[in-house]
Amino acid sequence: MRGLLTRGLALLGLLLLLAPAAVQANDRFTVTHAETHLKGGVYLLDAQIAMEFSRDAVEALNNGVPLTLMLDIRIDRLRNWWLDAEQAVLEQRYQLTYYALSDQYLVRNLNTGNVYSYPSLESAADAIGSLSDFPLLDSKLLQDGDSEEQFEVLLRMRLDLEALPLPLRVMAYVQKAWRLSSEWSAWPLTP
Amino acid sequence: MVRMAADPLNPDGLRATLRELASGPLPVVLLFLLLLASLTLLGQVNQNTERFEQIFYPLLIINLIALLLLITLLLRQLVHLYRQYRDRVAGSRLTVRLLLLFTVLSLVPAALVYTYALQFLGRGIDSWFDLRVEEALDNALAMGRLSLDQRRRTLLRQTQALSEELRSTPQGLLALELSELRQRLGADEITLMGLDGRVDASSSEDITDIVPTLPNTGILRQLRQGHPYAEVEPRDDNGLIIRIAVPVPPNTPSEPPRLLHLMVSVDHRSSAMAASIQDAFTQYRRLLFMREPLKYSFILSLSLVLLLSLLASLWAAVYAARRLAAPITDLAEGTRAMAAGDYGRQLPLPAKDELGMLVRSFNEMSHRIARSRDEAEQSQREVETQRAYLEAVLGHLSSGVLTVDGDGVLRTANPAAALVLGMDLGPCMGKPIVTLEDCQHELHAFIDTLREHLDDTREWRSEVELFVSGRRQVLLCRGSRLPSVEGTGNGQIIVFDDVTALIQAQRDAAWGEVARRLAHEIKNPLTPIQLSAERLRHKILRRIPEEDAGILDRATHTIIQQVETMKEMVKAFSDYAHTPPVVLREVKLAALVREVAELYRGNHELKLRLELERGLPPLEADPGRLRQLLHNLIKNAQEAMERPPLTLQIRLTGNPESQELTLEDDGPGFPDQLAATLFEPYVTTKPKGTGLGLAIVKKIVEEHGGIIRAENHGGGARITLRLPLHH
Repeated sequence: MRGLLTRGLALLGLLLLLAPAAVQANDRFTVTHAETHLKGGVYLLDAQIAMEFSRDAVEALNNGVPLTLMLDIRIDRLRNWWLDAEQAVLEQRYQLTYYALSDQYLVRNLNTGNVYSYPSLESAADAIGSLSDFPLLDSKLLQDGDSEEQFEVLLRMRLDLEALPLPLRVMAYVQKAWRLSSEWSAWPLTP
Repeated sequence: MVRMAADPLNPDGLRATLRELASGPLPVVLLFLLLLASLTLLGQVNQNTERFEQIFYPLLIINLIALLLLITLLLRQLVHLYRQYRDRVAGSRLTVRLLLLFTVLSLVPAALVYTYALQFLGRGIDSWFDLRVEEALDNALAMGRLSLDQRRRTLLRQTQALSEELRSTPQGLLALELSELRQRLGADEITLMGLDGRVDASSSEDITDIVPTLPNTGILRQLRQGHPYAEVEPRDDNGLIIRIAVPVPPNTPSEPPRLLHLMVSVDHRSSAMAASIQDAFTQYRRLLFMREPLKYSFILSLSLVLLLSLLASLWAAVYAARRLAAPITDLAEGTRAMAAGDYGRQLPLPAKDELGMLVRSFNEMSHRIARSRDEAEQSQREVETQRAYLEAVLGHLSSGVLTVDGDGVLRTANPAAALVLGMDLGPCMGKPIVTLEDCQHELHAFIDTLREHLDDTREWRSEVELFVSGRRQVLLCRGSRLPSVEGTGNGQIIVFDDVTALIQAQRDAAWGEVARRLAHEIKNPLTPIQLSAERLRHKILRRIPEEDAGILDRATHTIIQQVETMKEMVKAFSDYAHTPPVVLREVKLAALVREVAELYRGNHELKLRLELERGLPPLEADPGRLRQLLHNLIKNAQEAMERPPLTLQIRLTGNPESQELTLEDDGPGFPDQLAATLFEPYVTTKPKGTGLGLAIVKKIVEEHGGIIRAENHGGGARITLRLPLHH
């Protein structure tokens, strides 16, 4: 039985190693500001995320490799004496590409399909990292249960390694320069 | 190999099943299939990149798991093998040698192929790229840029010029003016708006498009700094668009700053060409950039496959080597076990090859040896049983039994033999029987007889008289040839009985008969003789002359006296022969002795000294007979006396089982030649006496179940008799 156990553990360790969780946070991405407000029965999010790409990432981008950035938003119901319950999860994906013909950076919102061009990487990153009046969720969805319940919003921006071309992905998994992600930033959900 | 079918339901069974699965060829087959699959998929990388990307991760994970599994299996096997090698288990050396051979055989070609594949891979990927192609693409892009740039600049100039016109346009005419401008510039959409995002007026070619496209924050920021924006942008539909945004100077300083936003489609043909250049350029650049990572990932895959195949082949090598060596190991172990005496061991049968035949022969041999060993054991047991039986019979025989081999060496002796000969025969075993004489000199008569008959081929019979510990012993010996025992020639069995008691009894019986006859035959005429003599004396004595009378008187007197003596003698005979039944009563021996001694008190010739232990319990006996016994003994001592006075010491001692009476006198003692026949009738040295005294004493003692012994002590005779407490 012990042999089986060790084998299982080894397998688990391997999977964890491979897991695309660029879990190890890097301080290149930081959520500098985040707040929510209620407007017309909908919670809206204002946030500012500073993104600084590593040299490897910039080089890849300038060589035609599209970078996909993922904005993870989670709303948790706070519970005493227990892990918080996940109430809602939102995912925003942005694809950043270099457009050589006009020397521009294109940002494609993969959720809406809208494309915007920016003359510099900084302005493109700034555009991705600035969220204003981003609709989070209908306040009705939260009023099902006890009105005393507390909610928390969690926010994270990260580079999606899964979206990288395969040969790069292998490298990206093992190189620290590619682990671009902010910490989870949390704040209470207030109207 | 024959294995026990494991019950998969219980945990041990499950484990056994798992172990069996893990050690069998199944994992290897599965892993090879896996390898084959990964190789096939890897082969498709160039043809279908997208599909490969999808399966890459599952493939990698599966391969890694397989790798881990193989490493575990292999390590397990290797550790096992190492232990066997260290412990010098039979067959482990062969296994290791086979393993090394297999490993070298698989490693060398694999390493060669790997090296070539790596080189080929590197060159193959490098060959995708060409400096000229790169240059051409760069140039194409530059050309595309140039042509678009021209258009962009023109448009920017025109727009900047037109924006001046809009400055002074009143608010009401703005929409109209914009529409006109749009048509003049060939734009898709034109918007006049504030820098804060407020739209003043807009005109679009597509009349359904009411909401104008607004410039993004980056453009607005640029405009705020006073720089116009003019860039070629890709459109959603793969076309190109030129976006122009120029600040519109305000009429009055109080007016908020405004901008003119313009979007002009590049014509379809140019657009398509530019897009294709852009695509090709981007792809080429991307490929170029990813050249090294691509190589690495190929090398990784290739190494993985190589590692897998290597490990698999190693495992297979271990497995095959062990399988090959297993029957040999089994055989070696089986042989060792058999050498150590573990017969009957059956080895598992391998396949039906030469080794299998060998193992089968071994099994058969082992089986046969075990069977014959069992048979031998069985017969040995039988012999043992028989021997024990014989020993029991011999042990319970009252006759002494000795066996000697052809060389006259003592081989067997039963307990009765030791008893009869009065010595421990244990130390004499295995020694020539004639040496018995050295151990016990008194046996020389017996040994002489044996020596005389040792070479006899026929049955013999002989009577031997021995004096052992002062006791006469008559042995009746019979000897006969034993059947030949291997290596020792014909031995002899000698059976002998102590017939002393038998002879004694026969003699006693004969004497009894003699006595009875004598009494009967002699007693009858004695009375008439006596009466006749008395009558003769009575009638004639007074009538004959004095001289004759004196003769007659003496003659008749002698007759009468002698007849009297004869009568007494006859009575003694009669007493000896006649044995009235013993009447047993509780008798206090000490009192009885005192009572008898009282009768001899007045006798000056005899001094009796009594030494009687006090408090002895009474014993079962016939008091009359005991009195006779004491009288006889005292009388016997008195009669043997040569010169008075005689001192007779009577001592009585006792133990819980018996009481012992010792009579010691200070007379002449028993003559040596009478020692053996002292208690027989008519054995006497005394001038007087019938010779029956001690014979009767012995008879009485025997009637009471006691024993009597006569011997000489320092100065006189000693008679010891022991009587049991209960008859």
